[in-house]
Amino acid sequence: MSIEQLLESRARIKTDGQGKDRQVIGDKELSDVAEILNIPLYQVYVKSMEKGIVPLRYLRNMPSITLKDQITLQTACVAVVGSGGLGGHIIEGLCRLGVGVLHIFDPDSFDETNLNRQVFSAQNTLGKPKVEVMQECCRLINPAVRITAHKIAVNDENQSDLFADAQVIADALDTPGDRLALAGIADKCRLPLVHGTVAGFGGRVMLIHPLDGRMQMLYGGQKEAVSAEHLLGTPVLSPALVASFQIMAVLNILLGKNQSKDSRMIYVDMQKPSLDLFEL
Amino acid sequence: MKIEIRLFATLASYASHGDIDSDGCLEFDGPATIRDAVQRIGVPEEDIKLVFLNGIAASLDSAINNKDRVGIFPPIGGG
Repeated sequence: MSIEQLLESRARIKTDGQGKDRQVIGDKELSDVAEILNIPLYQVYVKSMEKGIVPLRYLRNMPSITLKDQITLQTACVAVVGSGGLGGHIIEGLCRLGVGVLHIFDPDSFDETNLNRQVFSAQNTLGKPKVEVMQECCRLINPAVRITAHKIAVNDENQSDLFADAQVIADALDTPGDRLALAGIADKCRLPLVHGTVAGFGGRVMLIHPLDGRMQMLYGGQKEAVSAEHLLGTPVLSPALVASFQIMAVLNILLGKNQSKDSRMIYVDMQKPSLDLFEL
Repeated sequence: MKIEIRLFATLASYASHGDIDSDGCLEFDGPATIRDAVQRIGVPEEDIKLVFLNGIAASLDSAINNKDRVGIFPPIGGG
């Protein structure tokens, strides 16, 4: 039997949220097809969606994310640098959204001070490398996403080879020097960089285009400065919110949306509450 | 002239300065710059990283006019 016939035979009809009948298929059936044909699972997902059969895990994304968008995401590659407060939420989000390949980076292991905000930090993951925990948890969330885990610090422009196949980089770092180095890598690779940062109940998101020099405007000359997050802390609310804005920016880039041309700085203060846009 | 001054993150505490009215505005009798505004309410210059005038990047030397909106940010780097 061909892959198309195998998928067709396992698909069923389900009415979606808009009352439209759709051909759908579950993870178990998709895994069966991958096993029968001995091909990677992500390829089966792509084939299924190309045939108009919606994996149940993506059904509730529609129509905000169309089936065509979903195929684009399944064949996309994103690098997330930093797997802490922001990075964890970004990685989990991109995994649930079905971004096909994620390169994730962080040299650290979970400790107790991470428990207030970092996704997948728990009593049973303390002491374990963050990227390895993320990789394992994300495999259970969405096995069609391939994650390469790098237990290293990204702080040197010579590491640009690691980003060769990425389409966009998410900046989830927490030190000015590393962020400037990452911007150097993004410049070298000509990749868009989605910057995010938090302090207290607020945070900032900004799309940085290659060679636009705006990371320098944010962090140049500030390596030793006392930064707002040291004085205000970082409760879970702001990383979750800012990471969501970063995921949105990544999606807009991957899906070629017009909004991805808007590189204004977004600043959100949840306590006030306020959202402001600034041109930098 | 009267300008609106927005102080973000750690700098929000300076918004309680007595010269700032309940609408977040500051009044000046004559010409002034953003530096004059932040000095008046006591924000140390070394605590300032980004300055905006009417939503566009500016500097402490930028002149301010009636009804301008000024935004002041400290360094922010948490992740």
